[in-house]
Amino acid sequence: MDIQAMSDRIPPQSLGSHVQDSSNAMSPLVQKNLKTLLEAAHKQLPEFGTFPVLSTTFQNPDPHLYAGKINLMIEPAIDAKTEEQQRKRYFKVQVETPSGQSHASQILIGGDKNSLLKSLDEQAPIETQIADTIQSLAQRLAEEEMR
Amino acid sequence: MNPHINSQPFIPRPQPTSSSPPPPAIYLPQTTPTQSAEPQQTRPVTPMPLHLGEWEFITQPKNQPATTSTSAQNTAPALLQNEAAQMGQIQTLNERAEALKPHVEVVSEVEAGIVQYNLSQLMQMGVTTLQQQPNPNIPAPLQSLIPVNLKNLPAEESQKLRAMVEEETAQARDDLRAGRMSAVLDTQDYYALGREESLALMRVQQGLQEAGIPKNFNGKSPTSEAELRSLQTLGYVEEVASARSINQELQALYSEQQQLNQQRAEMGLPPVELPALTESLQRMETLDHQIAEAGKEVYELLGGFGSDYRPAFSEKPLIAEEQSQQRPSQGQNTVTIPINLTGILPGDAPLSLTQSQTDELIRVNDSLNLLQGNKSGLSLKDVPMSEDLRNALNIPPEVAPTTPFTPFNPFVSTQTAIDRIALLPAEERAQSVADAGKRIIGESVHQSAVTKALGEAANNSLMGHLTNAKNVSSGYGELATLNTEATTEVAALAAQAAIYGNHAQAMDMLRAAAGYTTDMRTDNSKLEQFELDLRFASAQLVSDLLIGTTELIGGAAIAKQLGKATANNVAKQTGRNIAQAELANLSQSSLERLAREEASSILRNQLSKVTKADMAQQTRSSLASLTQQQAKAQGEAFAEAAKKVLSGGTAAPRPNEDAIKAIAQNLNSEYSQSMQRALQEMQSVFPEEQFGTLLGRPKDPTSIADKLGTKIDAGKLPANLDYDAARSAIGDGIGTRLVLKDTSPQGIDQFTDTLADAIRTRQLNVTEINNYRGPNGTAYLSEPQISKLQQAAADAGTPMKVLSGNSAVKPSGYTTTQMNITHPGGISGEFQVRGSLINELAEQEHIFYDLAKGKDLSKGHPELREFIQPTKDAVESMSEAQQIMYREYLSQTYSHTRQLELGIPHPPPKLPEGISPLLEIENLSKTYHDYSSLKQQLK
Repeated sequence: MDIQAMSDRIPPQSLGSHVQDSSNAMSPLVQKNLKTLLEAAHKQLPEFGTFPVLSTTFQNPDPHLYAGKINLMIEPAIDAKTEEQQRKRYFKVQVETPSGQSHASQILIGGDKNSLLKSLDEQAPIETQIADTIQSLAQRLAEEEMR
Repeated sequence: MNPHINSQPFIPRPQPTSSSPPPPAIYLPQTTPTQSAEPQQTRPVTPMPLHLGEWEFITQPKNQPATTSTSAQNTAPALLQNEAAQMGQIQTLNERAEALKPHVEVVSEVEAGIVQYNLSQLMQMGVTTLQQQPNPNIPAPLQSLIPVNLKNLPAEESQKLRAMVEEETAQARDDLRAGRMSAVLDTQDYYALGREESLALMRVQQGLQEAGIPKNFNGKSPTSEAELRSLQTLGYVEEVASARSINQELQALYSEQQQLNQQRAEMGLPPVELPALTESLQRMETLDHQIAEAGKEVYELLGGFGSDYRPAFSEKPLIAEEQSQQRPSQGQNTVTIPINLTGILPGDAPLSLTQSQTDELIRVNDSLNLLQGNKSGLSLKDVPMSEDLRNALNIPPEVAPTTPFTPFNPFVSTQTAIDRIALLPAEERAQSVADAGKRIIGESVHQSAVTKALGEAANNSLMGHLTNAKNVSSGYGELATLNTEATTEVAALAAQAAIYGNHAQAMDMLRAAAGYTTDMRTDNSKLEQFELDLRFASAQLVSDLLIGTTELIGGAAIAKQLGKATANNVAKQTGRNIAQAELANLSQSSLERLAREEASSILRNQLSKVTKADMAQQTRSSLASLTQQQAKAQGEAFAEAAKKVLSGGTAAPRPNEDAIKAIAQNLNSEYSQSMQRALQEMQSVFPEEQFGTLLGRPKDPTSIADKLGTKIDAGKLPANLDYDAARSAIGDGIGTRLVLKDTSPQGIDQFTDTLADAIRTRQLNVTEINNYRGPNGTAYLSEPQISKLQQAAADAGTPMKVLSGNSAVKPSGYTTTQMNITHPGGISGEFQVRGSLINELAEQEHIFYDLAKGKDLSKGHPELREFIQPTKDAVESMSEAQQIMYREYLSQTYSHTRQLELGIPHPPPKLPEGISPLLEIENLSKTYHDYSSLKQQLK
C-alpha cells in the first residue's frame, strides 16, 4: 500500500474563518495524544496477527467544532486471511458528536507495523492531516444530524 | 484531559454462557455499591409464606423430618420403586429449569440496567435542578462553595423526585414479578412538571409500554449505546420480548416442583430440589432486593426518611399464590392516595367483597389516583362503577357529584382526555393512554426543548442539552421529532457560536438555518421528515427557535461590546492603563473569552428573573395564539430576514431561473448519458443472477434545479453559478439501487466481500457509508462488515468516511445502506442497498406519505382519482395522534419486515385502533400494486 499516495488523496479542506483558532486549540492535543499512541504502539503493537485495538481519547477543545470525544486508534485487519493481511495495521481517526451517540471515522494510514509507525513518526504532516480529518468528520456529523 | 491508552477488546462483548455469572448489581453514583449488592443470606428472612428465603426451607427442610408419617409404612424396595417412577419427571423438570436459566439471566441483566439507568437519571435530575434552582435558604455567596447535596433540593422538587423514585421502584419490582420489562425513563420530560404530573406521566409511559408501543432507547441503553447494540446483536431483544413467558414458565416450574414434593411426601420420599430453578429464582429475588435497596438508597439521598416502611421498598414475596398481572398504573404498588371512605360507607362494618368486586375496586381506586384522588374533588362515590360494586359498598345508586369536576392537577386539566381515560375500564385504558400520552409528551418535549435551549444558552452548555432534547424528541414519536431537532441543532449551533463571539460561524449556521427553512418550502423531494416539517407543530417550533436564536445573536453582539468594555474595566482595576490601540491588540481569544463570560453572566442574570414555568407558559401561550398560517409565515419571514442579514441588507440575488434550469437540464443530460455506463460498472461487480436487481436513475432536471436554488439561497453556492460548481454540488446525480435477493447473514457476507474486493481493486470508489436503520431495527451491515469495507478503501488509497450511531437511526424506520460513490467521469452518485421485502415496503408506504402531505396521486386521471379516493379519505380522516401512531406502525413494519428478510419469525405489528383497515400494510400493498397497474394502463 502506498501510504504517501493515500495521504495525497485526502482533499484539502475548505475551511471557514474559525479554522485557524480551531487548529490552534486542537494541535497540542493531537500532538500529545499521537505521541502517547506511538509510544504504546512501539511497545505493544505486534508485527503479525491480531491485537486489541490501541487508542487514545481526548475531548474536543474547540467550542466551534461539533464534536465531543476524539479517538485516535490503531486497529488490526478485519479480514486477515493472508499473511500480508495478518501484518496489516490501520490508523483511524474517530470523532464523536458532543452527546457521544453518533460518530464518524476515517482511516488515514494502512500498512505493516514499520511503515505505519514511520508515517506516524513524521509528525508535522500527519498532525495536520489528523486535524483536517477531525474538522472534516465533525462537519460531516453536523450535516448528517441536521438532515 | 490526560490522554490514556485503552486496550479495547477487538471482538465485542461475548454472548453470555449458561454458567452462572454474578447477579446484576445496581451501581448508583454517590452510593455504596456494597449495600445494593448485599448477599441474600445476610438479609433477615421474613416470615411471609412462599418467600424465597423459605423456599430454601421447602427444598432443604431443617425443622422437618425427611419423611412424613406415611413414610414409616413404606419399605425400602417400595421407596426405591417410587423414586424410580419419578426420575423421569424430575429429569424433565430439571431440563426445563436449565433451559430457562440463561434467559432469566439475560432478562434480569437488562432489567437491572434499566432500573440502574432510571434511578441514576432521577438523581442526575436532582443535581441539575439543584444547579439551576439553588435552595433559597442558602445564602448566595455560599452557593458555589457547598458541595452538591441532593438533600439541599427545594422541598417541592425533593418531594417530587422521591415520589418518582418510589414509583420507579414499585413499577420495576412489579414488572419483575409479571415478567415485563420496565419503561425507560427519560427525565427531560419531567423538569417542567410537578409531583403529581410527573407520577401521572410515569404511568402514561408504562401505559405506552403496556400498549406495545416500542420504546426507543436512543442509545440510552443500560450503560451505553454500544452496550445496547451488543444486546440487540446478541438477540437479547428477543429474550426481552419473551420475558413474560419466562416468568410464567418459572412460576409453572415452581408450582410443579411443589406438587412433585407433595407427592413425594405422600410416598415417603424426601423432597427434591431443582438447582437451576433455585438459581433462577434466587437471581430474580436478588435483583428484586437490589432494586428495592437501590430505590431506598436514592430515596434517602433525596432526603427521604422512613423508607423501610414505604411499600415500594419493603420485602415482599417473589412468587405469590395468585399473582396479579396488573400494571402498577392499575393500582398495584403505586404511591397510592388512600381512599377515604369516611362519610361514604355506613359505619365501620368490614367489607366482604368477591374477587371480581375487589378487582373493580382496585381499578376504581386507581382511577382516583390518576385524578390525584381527593385533591381532584372526586371521591369514591363519584366514580362510575358497576351496580354490583356500588351495592357491595353500600353507596347510594344515584349520587351526583357534589363538587364540580375541577381537577387540581394541571397536567390533567390541560388534557381532559386523561380525565376520561382514568375512568375507563383497565383493558381499554392502555390504548387511550397511549393516544393521549403522545400528545402530552409531544407538548412536554416541545416545552422542554425550547425552555432548555434558552436556559442552557445561559450556561454555555447549549449543545449538550439540545442534543438531549433531540434525543427526547426522537424517542417519543414524530410529533416531537419531525425534523425540528435538525433546526434546533442549527439554531443551537448558531446561538453557541454567537455566544462565543464567533460571528463568522454564527453566520454560517444562520445560512444553514435559512437554507433548511428554504428546503422545507421548496424541495418537496426531500425525505419524508423534511416534508413533515411543513406541518403546523413543526412550523411553530421552527419559528420559535429561530426567533430565539435571533435574540441570542443580538445578545451576543451586545456581549461582544461588553467584552471590550470589560477588558477596559479590568485594565482600570488592575491599574494598567491600556490604550484603545493596545486593547485592539488583545488576542481574539481573550476578547472572546471576556465576551463569553459577559454574555453568560448577562443571560444568566436575565434568565434568573424568569422561572421555567413562566417560560413554558409563555411558549405555550404564544404557540396557542398562532394559527397554522401565522406560524408558517413567521418561519418564512425569519428565513427571509436571515437571508437579508446575511447578504448585508438584501436577499442574496438569485441568478436567472432560466439559467439554473439550463444548467440543470445539461447536468441531467450528462447524468443520463453516463447512467448506462454506471449501471454496467455496478453490474460487473454485482451480477444480477447472483445478487439481485440493479436499478438506476439520473437525477431529473426539476430536482436538480430545486437543489441548486436551495443551495444558492443558503449561500452554499455562488449566485453567479457555473456548470462545474453546480456539478460538484449535486451529490446524487446518478442513483443506483441494488435490491438484494439474499439478505440472510450469508448473503450479506457475500455482498460485503464482493464490495470490499471491488473497492480494493478500485473498481468502485466508495467515499462514504451510511448504514440507516429504524429504531430497534436491524441494519443491513454489521460494524465489522463496515470496518472491512473501510479497510478495503484504505488499502486502495481512497479515504472513506463512515457514519455510525444515532444519526443512522431513522424514526420513520427507513432501513437501507447508502453509499456515496464516485462514478467514472467523476460524477457523484448515491448507491442504495436493501432487500426485496424492504424495497417493496418502501414503495408501498410512500402512498401514505404522499397522501398525508396532500400530493395529488391522480396525475390528472379521473380513474386514478376515483381509485385512490378511499385511501385518501382514510389518511385525511386521521387525527394528529393517529397519524403519529400510524407512523410508528410503519416504523415497526420496517423492523418486522427486516426480521423476515433475516429469516427470523416475527409477529407483524398491529394496526393502531381507530385507523382505517385500508391502511393496514397488506391492504396498502394491494392498493399500491393496483394503483401502479392502473397508472401503467393509463399511460
